[in-house]
Amino acid sequence: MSGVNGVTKHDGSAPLLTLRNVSRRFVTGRDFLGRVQQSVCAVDNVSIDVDPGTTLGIVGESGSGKSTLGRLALRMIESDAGEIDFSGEDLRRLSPKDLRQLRPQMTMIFQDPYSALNPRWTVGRSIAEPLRINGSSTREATHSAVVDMLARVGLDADAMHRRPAAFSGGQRQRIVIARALITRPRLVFCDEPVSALDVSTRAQVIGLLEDLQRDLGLTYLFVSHDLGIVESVSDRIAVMYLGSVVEIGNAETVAREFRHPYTASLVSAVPAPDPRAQRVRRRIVLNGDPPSPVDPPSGCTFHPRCPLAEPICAREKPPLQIDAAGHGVACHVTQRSTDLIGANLLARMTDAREPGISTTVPARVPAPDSAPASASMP
Amino acid sequence: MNRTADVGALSIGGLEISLVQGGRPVPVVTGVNLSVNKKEVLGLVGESGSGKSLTSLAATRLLDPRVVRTTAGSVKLFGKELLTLPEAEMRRVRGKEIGIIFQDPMTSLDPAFTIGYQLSCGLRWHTDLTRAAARNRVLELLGLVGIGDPRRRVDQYPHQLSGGTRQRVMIAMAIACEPKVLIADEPTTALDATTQAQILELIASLATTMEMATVITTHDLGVVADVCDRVAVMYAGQIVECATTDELFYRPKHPYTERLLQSLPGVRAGRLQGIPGQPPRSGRFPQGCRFAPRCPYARPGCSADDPELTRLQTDHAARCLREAELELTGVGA
Repeated sequence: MSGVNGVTKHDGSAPLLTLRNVSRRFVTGRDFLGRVQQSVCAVDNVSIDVDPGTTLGIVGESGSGKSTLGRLALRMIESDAGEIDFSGEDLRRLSPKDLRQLRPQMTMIFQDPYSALNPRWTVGRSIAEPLRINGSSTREATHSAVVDMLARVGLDADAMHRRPAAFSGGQRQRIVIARALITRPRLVFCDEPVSALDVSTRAQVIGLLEDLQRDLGLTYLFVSHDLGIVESVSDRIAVMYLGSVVEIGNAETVAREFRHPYTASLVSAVPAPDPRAQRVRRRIVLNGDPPSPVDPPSGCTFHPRCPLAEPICAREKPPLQIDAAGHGVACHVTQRSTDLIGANLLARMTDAREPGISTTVPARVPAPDSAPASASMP
Repeated sequence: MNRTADVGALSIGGLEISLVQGGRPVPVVTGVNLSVNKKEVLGLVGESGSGKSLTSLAATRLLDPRVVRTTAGSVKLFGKELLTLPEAEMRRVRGKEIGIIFQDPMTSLDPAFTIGYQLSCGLRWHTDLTRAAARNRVLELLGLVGIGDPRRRVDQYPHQLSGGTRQRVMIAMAIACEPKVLIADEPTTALDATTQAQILELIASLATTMEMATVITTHDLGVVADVCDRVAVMYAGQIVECATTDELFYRPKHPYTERLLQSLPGVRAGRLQGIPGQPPRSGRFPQGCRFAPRCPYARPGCSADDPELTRLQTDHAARCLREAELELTGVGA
């Protein structure tokens, strides 16, 4: 079926989660009459689909709005505009009562396992808490659910009588995962679930998340600033910059045949665990910090840091153009030249040392069969 | 890999660090020998609790003696013993001869003072620069660490800066007095992937241009591949392998190093491989080889005998009883 805004779906199944043109502004300053003086557009007109049983990875720097997007998707915070559809329910219009009914189906795994657990509660109590809030489970059923969940996350049953302090960071994250899954959710928002962990533990926890996804048919929204991690867990990846999705597509496509200069810079920042490759690799070092979202640059918000920026980039915001294979890119420059893809794009960016100097890019008309589907985002 | 002199800029010998709990000290770092030369960058890699940060901080004597104590060994700066130095003299070494970059730039800067003030404090304490001269030096330093528009930045407060810029300020502070030794404790753990690459490159280039001996602690071998000349891998309070970066990545000689490499995304296709089990809790080390309970190659003998850190080549040492018979996998294999 052909979805809204030209997002083409490959199989017949409906997405579990659909976001359409979702935006959220945060007020950061008011004058003495309480009128809004300054606001930050944390998420700007974002549309995504997540199919059941798959993982959508969301990658971006801090301040890109990736965590806000996840929280909007679960309606943990309210959106200003757009539509959020979770398994056929219009999430934005649900009454608080209906929303509470739906809550057990959407849960969250937090970044920092040290602050996500109450140090005074036993592990068993923390894991059982969502069932208690839900109020539908008997004492015996709760107990056996906790024991079952502890086994699933690879902890002994007697862990339920101990407190978080007795566990290492990786074990605590397993406890946080057990708590998130105790209500048998369908959608789990993983907010940087391994950033606070050691590399060796990280691999264990990611393996566990993958096993649980397969066994329980979970759908993940996986947020991280590390493209290497996101690539290894995701089916699809959305790259966010300053509140907008700048590139979206299948994990392999985004990580290897990327067409947005920002994605290219993220790829080049992933440390390759190979000293020789690392020495010869040419790296794109972006100029400066990400701009302040309070006062975002005109046109394409990435243009002040982009080595390929042209005059048009400062004037017009490029739309996210999604092709037939579901690969979407929001860039004026690479849209025109289809050869700027993956390694080619990286090479061009490292050649164009000085940002702001426009490079001569041959304007090419894309072949008819690969013509992008209709543009979606203003 | 500048083997210029036998005596390293910073050399640590037989270091033992103990936790002081209820009177009896519990050793958490044992028998650590390390040496870093001028212009050399040494990576100290290990999981949390492996003792890597304790080891690097012991060299600065910043450990709180009520909690952690250096119970044996020596730390020498160009041959001068630091562990027995009176505190007043140590204070002149710290910040002047040894620069330190801490992990978290958010908590290491004082939110109540401008970064210019915080930078000039150390400078004026260690040197006899006037206020005006110190300010000029601060501007110069901010430029050196790649902070754009130093004249505006110098009067800003930490909250006005991004995480990456704050870490650059921390680096500027560490190198302000042109130290001979730079200790960076997990300098990029709190940063985004893109910023991480910039900061590592900055530290490595400063190490070369300022001829510093640099120690970077990290739990991420990927970080080490980028900038380090040599790598020491720590597990449960011991160094288990030490080699040049290439040797360690392409020809690891300790099973723990192999497993750490396999934990990195992109090293092998398919599923990420973690290391099963948990590292031993501080001070409660198993008998024999401390890695044996988690080691896929362990034999009964491994839990009986304590392996020595054995020199295999000029610049490669490993602590494994089965080193000679094992064929371990490096990266790119």
